[in-house]
Amino acid sequence: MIDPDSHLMQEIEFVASLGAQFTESMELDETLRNATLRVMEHLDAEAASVFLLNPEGTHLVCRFCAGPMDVTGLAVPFGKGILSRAVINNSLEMVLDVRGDKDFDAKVDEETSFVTHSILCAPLAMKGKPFGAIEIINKAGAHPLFTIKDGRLLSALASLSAFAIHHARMTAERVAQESLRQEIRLAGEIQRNLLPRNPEPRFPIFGINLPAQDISGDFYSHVVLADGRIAFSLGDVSGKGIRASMLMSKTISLFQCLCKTMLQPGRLLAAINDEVVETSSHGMFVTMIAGIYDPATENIVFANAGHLPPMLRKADGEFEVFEAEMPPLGILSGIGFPDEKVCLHGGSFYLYSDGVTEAGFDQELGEAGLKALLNEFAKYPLAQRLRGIVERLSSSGQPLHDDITLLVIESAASYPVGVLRFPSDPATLKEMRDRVRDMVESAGAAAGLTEAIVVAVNEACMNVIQHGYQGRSDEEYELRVGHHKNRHAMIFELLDHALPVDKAKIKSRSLEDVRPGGLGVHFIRHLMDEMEFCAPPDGYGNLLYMSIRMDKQNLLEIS
Amino acid sequence: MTHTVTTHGKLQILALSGEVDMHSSPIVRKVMLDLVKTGSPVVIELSAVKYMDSSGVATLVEGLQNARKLGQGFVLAAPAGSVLGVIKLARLDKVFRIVASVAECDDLAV
Repeated sequence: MIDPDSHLMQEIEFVASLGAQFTESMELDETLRNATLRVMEHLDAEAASVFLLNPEGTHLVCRFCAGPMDVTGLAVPFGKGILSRAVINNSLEMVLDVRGDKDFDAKVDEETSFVTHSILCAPLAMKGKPFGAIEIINKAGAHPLFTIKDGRLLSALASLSAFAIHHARMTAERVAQESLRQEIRLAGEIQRNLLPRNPEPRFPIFGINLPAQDISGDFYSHVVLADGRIAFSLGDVSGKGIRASMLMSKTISLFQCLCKTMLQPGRLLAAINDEVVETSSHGMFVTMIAGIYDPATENIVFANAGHLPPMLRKADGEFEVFEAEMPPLGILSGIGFPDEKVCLHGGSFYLYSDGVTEAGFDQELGEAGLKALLNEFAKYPLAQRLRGIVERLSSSGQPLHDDITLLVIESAASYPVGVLRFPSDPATLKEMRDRVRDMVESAGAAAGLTEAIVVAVNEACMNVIQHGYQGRSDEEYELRVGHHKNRHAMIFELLDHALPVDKAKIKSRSLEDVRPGGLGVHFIRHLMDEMEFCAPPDGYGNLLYMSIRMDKQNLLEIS
Repeated sequence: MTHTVTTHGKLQILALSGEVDMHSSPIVRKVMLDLVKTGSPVVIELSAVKYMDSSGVATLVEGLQNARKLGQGFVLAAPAGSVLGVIKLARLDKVFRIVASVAECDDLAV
């Protein structure tokens, strides 16, 4: 049992109150100062100071001090003096008369009027690693010599301080890291904005990029040229991280700017190459394919600078691979890149980055694996196809080790089955349905699929009458029916001349809420593979594009 | 679209045939809501309906809601083919009481 009035009890209470001070305030400097001042007063000393090792580990720097002399900011070379001794040995130093200590550095005393007699110095350490010290100078009063008890008290303060300083440093580091992460996220967002926006489903090119981290070293691009042809590219910058992402931003910007006037892909790559060589550093380089697709002829002209060979999946399912022999961009200046030509003939042309073929947990996907995936997903519309493949590649639950980028070019043209024009009169909907039913059946759709198509198309026409034309029955709409033979899909394009729809308002409602109305969009989305408003051909009105694969079965569960 | 109304005990049966769509569902709506209003249970007999769009489904939902307010039975009898398909598509097959034939509604007739 300790006597509450005993000296020991008073010491325990003093240390406890110091500890409480550290937990109560988040202001480290202030807490340290107060605590040190209190210890100084408690020990009846003349001066006190806290020194911390600088990040280079060369000096002990005074973080703050109390007493007659202000030495805040004073840097003492680490390795010399009593202070350093406490830090190096990670032990309490008590020097009752500095004149007898060979390590005592009298420099400060000489430069000031202060006279040091005795020093008590405790190291600040975390996990056995000292990083500074607290120093108390010249005990005064009736017993002007530091005692073992004083040493214990200072050691207790040093432990508390070390923990608080360490905690504050960790917090500051975390804040800095979080702020850097936020910067990188923003950089990633800016990068994503350099990639093309998702094109409408009638566009013959679709690209996708899934960065392994926030920022990507891969890119793709497509730009519609003045003559209706489309310039495209896909590339991969060597290395990863911020450096790669900056070179990526530069390369894609060069492409997007130059492709509008340089209509020969090989010459375009040569121009970008010379730019990249001039400014590239750290041996970074870019592998890249650039080309031009002509939707009218299905011809592609492209050039390849050291990138993985593009593949043509022909209409019959066979693959043709176009090997490249030229080096990547950014290595040798003044070189040319030959143009190659290929015609789609109903096939699909694929570009991809090595993140695709090297994806996989136990085993890399490889070119053969990619071909198998392209076959498996061939029947889907472009966007769904590439999203499906990327989802498959990234679904292992393992983090991606490289960016995944894919681009496909495929003719969007469909074989016309027929064009229907109807007044916006609900009384004619039945006739419209009968005509659509005939057309779809003649294109080879099975009975279950035909009914599903009729339901979806009817809902779309109803929306035109009800929402587009606001119930006016003297307007007209047009339904173009096509058969995309390569994809084995039926295409429906519904045109009206009503006011443009607000796409944000076109959405399925929750079916949990049982009420009349609002089911039409749900029906269309559920039955069709694609439903999207596209740019209308005349520049006004609306064009609703819908497609559905013909191998879909019994969507309405008709038995 | 054609419709006939018959009664079986307390039960009122609205039998529809043909196609219930945006053009014809307003007629169905009027007849059906009038029947519901009488306060007797209603069966919508759908075996002869070949096609129904979302406006037809919405009409049936309105009938069900009005009948419930009056504490009355409201039953769909014999929806087939794509008609049952769109009811399921709207996830209403568990909301409606659906029976294979009017005969299964005898509990409501008395």
